[in-house]
Amino acid sequence: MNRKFKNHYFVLIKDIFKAVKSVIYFGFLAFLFDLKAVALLSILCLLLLGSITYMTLKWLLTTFEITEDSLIAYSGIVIKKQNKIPLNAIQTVDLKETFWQRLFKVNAINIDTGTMQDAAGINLLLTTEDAKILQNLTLQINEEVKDLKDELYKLKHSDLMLYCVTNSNIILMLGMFLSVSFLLGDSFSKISDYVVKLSPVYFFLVLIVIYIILKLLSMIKTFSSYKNYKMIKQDQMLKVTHGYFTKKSYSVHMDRICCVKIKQNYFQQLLNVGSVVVVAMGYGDSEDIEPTLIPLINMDEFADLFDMIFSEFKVSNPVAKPPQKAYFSYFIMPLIMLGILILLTIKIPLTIAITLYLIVMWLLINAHLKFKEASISFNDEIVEVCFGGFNRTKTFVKFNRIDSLTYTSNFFQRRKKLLSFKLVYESRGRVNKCKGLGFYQEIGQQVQDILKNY
Amino acid sequence: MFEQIKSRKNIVIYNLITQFIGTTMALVIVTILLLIFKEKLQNYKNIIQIGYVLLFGYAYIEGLISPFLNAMTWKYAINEHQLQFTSGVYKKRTVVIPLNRIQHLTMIENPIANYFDVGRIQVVTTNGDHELKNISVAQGKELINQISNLLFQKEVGNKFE
Repeated sequence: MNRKFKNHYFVLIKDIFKAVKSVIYFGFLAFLFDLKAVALLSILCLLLLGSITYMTLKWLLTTFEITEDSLIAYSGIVIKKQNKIPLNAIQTVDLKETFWQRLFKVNAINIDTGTMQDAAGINLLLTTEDAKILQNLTLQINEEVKDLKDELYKLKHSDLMLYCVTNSNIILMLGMFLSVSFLLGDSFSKISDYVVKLSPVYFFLVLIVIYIILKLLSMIKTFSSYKNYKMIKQDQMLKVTHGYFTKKSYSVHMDRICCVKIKQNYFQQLLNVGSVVVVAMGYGDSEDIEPTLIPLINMDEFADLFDMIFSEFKVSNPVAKPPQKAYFSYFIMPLIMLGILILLTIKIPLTIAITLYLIVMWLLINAHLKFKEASISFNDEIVEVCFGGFNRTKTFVKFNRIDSLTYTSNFFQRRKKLLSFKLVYESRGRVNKCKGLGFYQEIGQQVQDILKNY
Repeated sequence: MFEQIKSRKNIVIYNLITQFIGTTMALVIVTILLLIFKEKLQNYKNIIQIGYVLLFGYAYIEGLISPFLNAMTWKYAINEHQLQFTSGVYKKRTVVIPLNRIQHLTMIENPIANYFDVGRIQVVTTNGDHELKNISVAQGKELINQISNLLFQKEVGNKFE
């Protein structure tokens, strides 16, 4: 089945465009510093010509070959380089198609071996057809699925809208807010001073309006990212495709999944829906904050899906919850913050004080919810941990992927025979952990005993 | 079985010196910054004064006490399955690392630490690293050998199974 592939000429066009852009930039800088135009133009032309020749040669001499057992990348103009990756070492093959790439009918393909080194993967740009062939060949799976029986889950429009509304993309919103404040410069501080001076009511009204605008923008982004979402099961592979302007396609080998997470914020908890995240070596390590497998699914519907695809993660043993005497442990931090706030109240302006009191109130309610929801359950292979208040995460981790177990206990906890624990598990470039607060000491010992088997 | 830390005296002296240097450097930097922004911070003078005294008072007292407590409480244990180390007096912290998950071990030394015969071991797993502090250089090297031997035995054992 030997077959050769070559990067699409779009790569060359993109590189040349980049070179021209930098030459124009340097030319502009040189004119600013009043350098002699003729000499400068000749140097710039020579530089441009040299880099275009180099890029063309590089593009011509970079090829990829797929054999029975490996993928080989040939590169180098003078010094030849050959990068051979055994097919069974390939963890994931991700496809991505931006708006511009769609015009040229090309796909970016990222082949990942899951190791920590940067040079571990291969990035290519092929025609859409070739990219799909390469994806199937490298993952050693059959042709494209046409049978709808294999389609495990398709995100409905109503669910996607619900996800956009309930998903609070705070980082994106904060980023947009900071960009706007940076663009407005001095005017922004003048406006904010004016509003603060007017009245606390106006201050909160303005905050609500800003929140609504940012929320709408982040909703548009989320909607376009997850439009046309579907998940397919093909042999032992889960294939996920989504995106409107930028199309993405991931493939996750089910054997390599070491953790499944169900994430729910408060609104999602009320509506009995949640997001599903999986941790697998190589998967989703590109630009995404977290490798989301299913953005939103009804929990009853997911229970069936969980039995079907994640049956090995099922823990049937009884669930342990923190005892009532651990209740206070959850409130230590919010109470310390409340104490500091009371001390500072006289010195800070009223609007800021009210905002801070609201935050502390939110933290106190969150602490109560955390205590209510915390739980742990385990068998000899899987540990299931539930943690969080307004934002709750249920984590299922394989014991053989746990990197470390840390348990801590302060003087008061020890008197009550309680402890807090943190489990850190395998991932690449991202800290993955789950934790529990105020559980009985025997729980920690039992988890440690099971860990001995791995 | 837990191993107690050897050469405790040296570890206490080394930690006292490093903590003192660290706190004094922080004190100098904060004092310079406060002097630069003196006028801008005029309104918060009282709070800053109280905070300054409390923070650095605590840092110096902690710097005097913690080296003794650390040397007394740092313990580590190793068996054929796990590496475990524990520390702390008021808040006890125990870290358990399955030997299979250890990627590599690094002995960290510096001239001052070497003079006092104090070492640190960095235990690197796939997801991060942990530091095994407050041990003597000889004890650290012995521990690395022990873990390497155990891992090698496990690997050979698995191959023959």
